[in-house]
Amino acid sequence: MADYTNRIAIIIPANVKPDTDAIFSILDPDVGGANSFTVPLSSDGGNSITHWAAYTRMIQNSYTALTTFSNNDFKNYVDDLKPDNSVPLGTIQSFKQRVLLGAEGQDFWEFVAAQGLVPYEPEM
Amino acid sequence: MAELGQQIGQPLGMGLGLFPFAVGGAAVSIGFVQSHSELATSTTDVTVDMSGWGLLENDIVIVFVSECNAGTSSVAMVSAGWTQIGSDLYGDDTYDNTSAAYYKIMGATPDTSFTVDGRDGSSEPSAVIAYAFRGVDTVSPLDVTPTTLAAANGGNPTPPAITTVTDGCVILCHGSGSGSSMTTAPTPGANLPNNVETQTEDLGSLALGSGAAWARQSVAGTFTPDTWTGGNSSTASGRTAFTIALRPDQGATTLEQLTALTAGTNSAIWIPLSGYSDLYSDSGRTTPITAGSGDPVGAVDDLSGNGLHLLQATTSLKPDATDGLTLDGVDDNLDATFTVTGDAAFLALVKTTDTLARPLSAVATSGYPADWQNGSTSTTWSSPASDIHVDGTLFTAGVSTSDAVHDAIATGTWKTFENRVIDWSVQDGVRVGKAFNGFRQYAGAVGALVFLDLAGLGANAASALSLAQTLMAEIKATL
Repeated sequence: MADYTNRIAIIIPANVKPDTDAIFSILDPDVGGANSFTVPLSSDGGNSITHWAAYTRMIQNSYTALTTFSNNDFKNYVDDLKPDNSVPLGTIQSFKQRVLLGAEGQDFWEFVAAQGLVPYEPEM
Repeated sequence: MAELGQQIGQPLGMGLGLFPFAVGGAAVSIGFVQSHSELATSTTDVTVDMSGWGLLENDIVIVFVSECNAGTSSVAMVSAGWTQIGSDLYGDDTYDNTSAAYYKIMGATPDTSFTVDGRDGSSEPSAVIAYAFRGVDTVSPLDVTPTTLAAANGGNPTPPAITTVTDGCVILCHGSGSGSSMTTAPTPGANLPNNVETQTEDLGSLALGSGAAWARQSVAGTFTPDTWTGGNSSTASGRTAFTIALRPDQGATTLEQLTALTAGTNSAIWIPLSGYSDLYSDSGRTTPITAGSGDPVGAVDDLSGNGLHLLQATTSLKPDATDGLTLDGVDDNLDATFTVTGDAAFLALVKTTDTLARPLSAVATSGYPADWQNGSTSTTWSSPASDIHVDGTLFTAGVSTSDAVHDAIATGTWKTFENRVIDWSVQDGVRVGKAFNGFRQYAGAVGALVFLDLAGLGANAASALSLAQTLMAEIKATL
């Protein structure tokens, strides 16, 4: 049984999403990690999406690696999780330099608002 | 006990709206599985294929065999392990009629066929009619001694009355008549509306007609079949009939009864609260977690046995198991993808204070049984538009407001939510949590959810709804 963190708000710029999806496809202990970021955000709630967000628990070791390891050590950690699928260091750097992490258990919507972002919800 | 007698013979869409919120409601638990009839075409034994019936362990199969002859006939069950109900019935007249009835409770590996005697002679017509039911008491499947008729001077075999001693019986009647000719088979009267089977055969000098059907009896007492039509009215005709009362399983819990009733349909029972459905952290259903633990939930087992498990393969989208399923109001959701062919029903236990939410929907199509928005005067809060009940209070589509629905549900206490009839024929399953296109999420708990494939349940739909209501009430009483 894995030890999970509490929920953590994570925001990434839209142009980093492919790198992030690649990393989370490995960090996620289940098979759907590439779909982790599903909340579209923009500066005004319009459909010009600038960021994507997730509100997720993480395996405690992954969270520690993400928040405390150097880029190289984090790359090694990720690569060890899935040895047949090495993630380029550039992908790791791109993600880690731009990711915005809330505190464990922090309210998601408060964290989003604190970044000056608004969720986009399609009309229906 | 709630009176459900009015449901007999009622079209589904008409009947369901009449149900009270059935706390401790009537346990009309016996489910119909299959019916079949055919004629013997020769003196060769008749083998009936049951492999496609979806039989399960403890289902009961009842078989009636009838023959017209100028004397008694052999109407034997050839297959082993069957119990004859009473003895052969002999309607002694110029055109004799002989019938026999048998039953068998299916074992762990249900039978795939049975064989009965064919015609005694090539010109002596013979028919077999069979029914299968689920949820019948396996210790005493017959509530009381069946009543029978064996008579001369007319081939219209209206079955005799029977007086049951247990609530929730199924009354199964069979009648057979002989004659020199036969244009219309004996046909059950109006109070035997379900799964009518008839067979008729005129072989020139000897003719046979047989019919059968069943009805529910919610409260024990006397059931008198309405007069049958058809058959040969000649005073030279013999006739026979059975009236059998099947007793509902006396030892089963509400959940077991509902599970038995919904097996083999696209219905599902998800109860993530502790002690019910198994929960897993992974969508592959390999790593169990403890209900109430707060761990992410990647799978909730479907208790119906139909394999329609709720799944989520992405950890960030998984609710946790704190209080049933606890969804974060951001992106959490689980899906069960499947199709139904018509109406469906949703029954759920929810606890939330969410002011703008859609807790349930289809997976990637546009259907949803209800949502709500605090302060909204919109009267469109389900798709297709349909009524809902919250703790038994009716909210009418097109009349009640979304704000009123919010005020009823979003109180922070457990509420029972029911959409008893919604057209789900173009939808693609059930999603719990954020709708597929990002429009509306849900922050709150789902303690239990029953999805009923009303079209697939057919004649069992009303009973399944009643049982699901009882189940929700029982669970809620423990919270």
